[in-house]
Amino acid sequence: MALSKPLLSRLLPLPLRLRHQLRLLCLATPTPTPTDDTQPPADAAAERRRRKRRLRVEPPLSRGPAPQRAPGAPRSASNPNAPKIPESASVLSGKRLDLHRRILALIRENDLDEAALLTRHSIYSNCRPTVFTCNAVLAALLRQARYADLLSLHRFVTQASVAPTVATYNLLLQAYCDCRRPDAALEHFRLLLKDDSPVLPSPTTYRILARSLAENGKLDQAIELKDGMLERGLVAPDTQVYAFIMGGFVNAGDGDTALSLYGELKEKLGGGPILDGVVYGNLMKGYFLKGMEKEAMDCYEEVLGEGSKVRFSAVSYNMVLDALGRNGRLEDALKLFDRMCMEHDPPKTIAVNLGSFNVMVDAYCRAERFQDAIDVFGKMAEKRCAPDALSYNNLIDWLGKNELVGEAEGLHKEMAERGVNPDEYTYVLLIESCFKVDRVDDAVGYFNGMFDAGLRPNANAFNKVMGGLVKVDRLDEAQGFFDMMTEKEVKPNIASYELLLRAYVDAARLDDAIKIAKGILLDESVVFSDEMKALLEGALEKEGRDGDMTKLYEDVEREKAEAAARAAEEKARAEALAKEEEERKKAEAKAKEEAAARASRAAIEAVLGRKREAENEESADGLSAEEAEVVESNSGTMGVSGEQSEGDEQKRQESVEASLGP
Amino acid sequence: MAATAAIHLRPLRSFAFSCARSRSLLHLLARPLSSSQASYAYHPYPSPAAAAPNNVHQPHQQQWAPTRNPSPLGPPPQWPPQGHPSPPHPGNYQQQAPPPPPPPRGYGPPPPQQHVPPPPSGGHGPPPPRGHGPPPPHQHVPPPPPRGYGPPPPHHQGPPPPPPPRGYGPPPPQKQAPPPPSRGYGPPPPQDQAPPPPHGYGPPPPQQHSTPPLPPPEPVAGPGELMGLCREGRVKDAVELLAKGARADPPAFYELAAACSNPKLLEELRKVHDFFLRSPFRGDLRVNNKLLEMYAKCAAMPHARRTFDNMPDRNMDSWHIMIDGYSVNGLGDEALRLFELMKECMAPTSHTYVLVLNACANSEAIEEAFLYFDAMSKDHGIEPGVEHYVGIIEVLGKSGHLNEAMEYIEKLPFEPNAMVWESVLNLARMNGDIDLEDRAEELLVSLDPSKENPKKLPTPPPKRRLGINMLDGRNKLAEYRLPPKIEKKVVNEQRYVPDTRYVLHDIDQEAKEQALLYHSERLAIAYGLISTPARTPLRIIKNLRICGDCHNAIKIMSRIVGRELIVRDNKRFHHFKDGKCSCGDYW
Repeated sequence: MALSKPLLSRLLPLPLRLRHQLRLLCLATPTPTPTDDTQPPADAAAERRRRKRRLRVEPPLSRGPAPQRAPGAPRSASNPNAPKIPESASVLSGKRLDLHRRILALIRENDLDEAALLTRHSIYSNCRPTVFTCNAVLAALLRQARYADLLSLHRFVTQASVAPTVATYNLLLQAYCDCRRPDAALEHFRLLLKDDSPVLPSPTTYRILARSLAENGKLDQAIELKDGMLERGLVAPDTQVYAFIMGGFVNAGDGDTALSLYGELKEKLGGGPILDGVVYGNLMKGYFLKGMEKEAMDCYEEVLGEGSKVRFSAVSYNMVLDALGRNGRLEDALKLFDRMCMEHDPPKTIAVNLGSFNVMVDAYCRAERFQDAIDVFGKMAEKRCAPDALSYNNLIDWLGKNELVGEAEGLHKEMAERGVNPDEYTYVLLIESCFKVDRVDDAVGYFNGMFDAGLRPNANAFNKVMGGLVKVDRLDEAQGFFDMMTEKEVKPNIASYELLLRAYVDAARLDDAIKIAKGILLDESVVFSDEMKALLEGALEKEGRDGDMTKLYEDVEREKAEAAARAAEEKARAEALAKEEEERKKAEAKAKEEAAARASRAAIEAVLGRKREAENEESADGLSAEEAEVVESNSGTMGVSGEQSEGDEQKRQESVEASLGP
Repeated sequence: MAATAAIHLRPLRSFAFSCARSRSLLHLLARPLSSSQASYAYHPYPSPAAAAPNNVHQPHQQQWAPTRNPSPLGPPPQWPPQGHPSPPHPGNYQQQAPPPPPPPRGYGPPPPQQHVPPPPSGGHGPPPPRGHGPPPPHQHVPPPPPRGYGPPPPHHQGPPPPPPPRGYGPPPPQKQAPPPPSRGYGPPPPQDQAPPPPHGYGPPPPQQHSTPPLPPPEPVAGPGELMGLCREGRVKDAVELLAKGARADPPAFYELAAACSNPKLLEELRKVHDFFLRSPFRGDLRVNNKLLEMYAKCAAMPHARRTFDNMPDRNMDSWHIMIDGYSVNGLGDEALRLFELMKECMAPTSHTYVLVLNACANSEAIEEAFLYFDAMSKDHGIEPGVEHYVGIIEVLGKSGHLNEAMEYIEKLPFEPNAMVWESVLNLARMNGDIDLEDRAEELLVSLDPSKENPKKLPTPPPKRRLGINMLDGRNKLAEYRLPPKIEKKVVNEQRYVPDTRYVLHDIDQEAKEQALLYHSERLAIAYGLISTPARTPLRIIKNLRICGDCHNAIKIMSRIVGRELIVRDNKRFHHFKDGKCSCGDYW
């Protein structure tokens, strides 16, 4: 794999064109020698070509006869099952470019259904969408968080053998990571690393995965990913990947590993100062975590002081800002924030984003300067940042925790005015804060407001409101919400049961407690813990109702058995029904067959009869008249009885009649 | 026989003269080049009136036919050893007054014969070049025909001449129709007057004698004419003319090649190339380069490469054209390989590197791009310019590394200018990254307000929480809302299961399934799908009844491809739409 290592290292200080240093920067490259430089393109290209050749994919041949195939050269046996190489950018021309533009327009109109559908329909037409077009639609779906649609389109397109590019993979991985399924993402990532994979992971791929793994606390896998990155050398050691993993360790409280990661990165990048500011926030957090305040602040002074060459983007700034804010350095944080605002010069330089405001809000709130927090939050619009539900939630959370319910409610109203839709979490925060200041009715009001807003609270949300009600001894209302859960098709979890059970035991309403316990026992998805059992037993004993416990178990057993019996019965009935149906069908089919046979018999007889008649014509005039009569009288009764055989009789008669007619 | 024919012709001919002459005169006077409309006008003009006289001579004409149409590629034009303008008269003449082609009605002497130096086999008395047998007036007539002749093959069979001005009683409207004049062909008024020499059958007026610009024997189409045809976009005609022996000079070849600009004209281009190779100036660099360029445009890089390899000498342009051609045709690797060869012959220039980077972009060769970029200043002392940096950005962007491209831009040694942002804008569009597109556009407009797109639609707000929230741990959302379930959403999945009951042969199961795949309606639908635009209905006609398995398969197909598939079997129509058939599965 001598192939693509210099990629990112090349991205770094290229403009300086310190080629020699660059080479040193990436360890995965064999030590550079002057001779190496004489024909480097050949080297790098060769590996890539070898990779392509291994796939036995021929470059798309031009139209027309290929005149120069060396006579002796064997026709390359192309393997139809080999992974396809993605199309190059030059295919985006002509009709396919028109289609691309059309789909981009649809994406702008946010008509993603149509965009996805048109892409699908175009696959089977004379104008196949390019992989770029497919990527555009996938990106738009990802942007609108329509993950299911994204996956189904991705599957469709892949099955239609549109070869994916690394961008396609990145979108797919990002989708899985957004859904907090880093394992699924990793599985797809492994496909990229396979030996015959025509595309290689890009630094972005590693970043997406590292971030998701770190956020989900899968630090071992994150380290594995990083080691894989170094070992394969497909991309140079990436500062962002390191930064994300360091963040993961800091969150897990492991400052040592974070610091050692920093050391490792520094070494991999050649020992000089790291010029990408993204690592320093987490590095400072690591120092703070270990109580090395001085080192942290030294680092801060160094990278953000005068003459520092470290580049900071908004995200990197936010990390440092967060490190300061979380560790009681509000003054420094404020200074840094001012500096960021000074540097902020959209569209050219973006030094402040939504995250910066969130971090500042946190910092103020930590210092209990809530009014300042609200003020800075309000300044967001000045910097062309629009708060989203998450940042509102953050501030409401802080305010609610500190019993500033009025302000929190004000923010909630502001959300509606600004067209930011509150989510379940917003409501839950409001409910919590109302309970905190004993405004129980308002809390219940907010809870009900959730349904009006078309949101679907889950079991945890129910638990919050029930817990609040229980605390103020409004057990019946809590029970009401519990009953509402089934109504709203929300499955109660063990916490919901235990909450109520405890409350009933405490209030000495043992019958209700037993009812809840029964509910737990009957619910297959929850376990009746020993603790609860002991609690209930103790309470029952106190009241001298020892027997009730056994009775409870008996009841449960009985009910379970009953339920099982009922289920079995249901099943048997369903089976019987199915059987019946089948038999009926069989019988019908049989009857039909018979009817057909009879009809043909009748037809034969009719023909025979006619023959006979022709023979007997003169002699048996009277007889035939009689028959006709019979036919008539018969047909009168038959319509009613409708029995099969008689029907056939009738048919026969009729056919006889018909054959007689002419 | 020939003689009688000639006699017969006489009266007619004088007619033809009057017309032809007048026209040729006009040409001499008025129109140096581009007589397109004239010859064009002739095409649609098989008027009955004209046909009548023609028919008389039909047999006669046919006699010539064999000699006339030698082979598609035609007699290799005979190149006079010294260079192009060997038969000076025709050449000059024609260059000035190209193709007003009043083909002499059914008039014998077939032009091609005339340019081929060896006279036609004996016996065809009247017109052979050398014969000069026919009466003097005769002589003026020939020159025009060859030209008018060339283009449309049907002409051979008796191209209707412009209706005789009078006497022959062409219906009055036709009189106006005589296409050339009415089509704004040259200065029409004189023409209208010209026909009047209606004393008609008499000896042509004296001036006629003076005008005939050239001896008829070599009415060879010349370069001017070819170029004229090319400019009108009638490449096929031009090539045919060439096949008949028309001569061309380097500019003409240049034009001819340049006219073959789309893949459909590859055959023509090859023919032109063939003729060019047989010409004395096959070494002409400019034409060769043009040929390379056009082969590249026709997506025929193997041809281009062969041409390139056989070129006697190449200049920088040749290399550039080849490298560019490879990368435009998606063969970036080839382009890079060629570049390696090129470095052995000559020193690459700054522009070469732009092309090389472009080639890298088209083969997703990021690593090479960076290596070349370094080599540029190191090995060849070319300081990278903005276009090279943009080249690198494109390499990254086209390979789907948009983020990396943005990082690269941050590290540029100069303030990114409009060119950079425009490139980013296009790359973002290509990859469908709306947010980046907006940002690039904003930056671009701030640098160059003229780029503002007034029709731009507002960007829909994103639903997904972008990576700007740095509040790890604070995002407790998951506690309340489970992550969206994905994957298992596939509701009532439909799948095609081959139903082998409809294969009546005694073969194993797999072979039965295989057999089902080749039912003709499926093949027809498959072909129809890939050869028509999306969402158009398809109509399939089948001579036998459709089988149940195909019926099922087509139902599924109609849903997947979102089209109406109308299949007629020998009993009825089935309209498949959205996975259902109009027959309700009863047929």
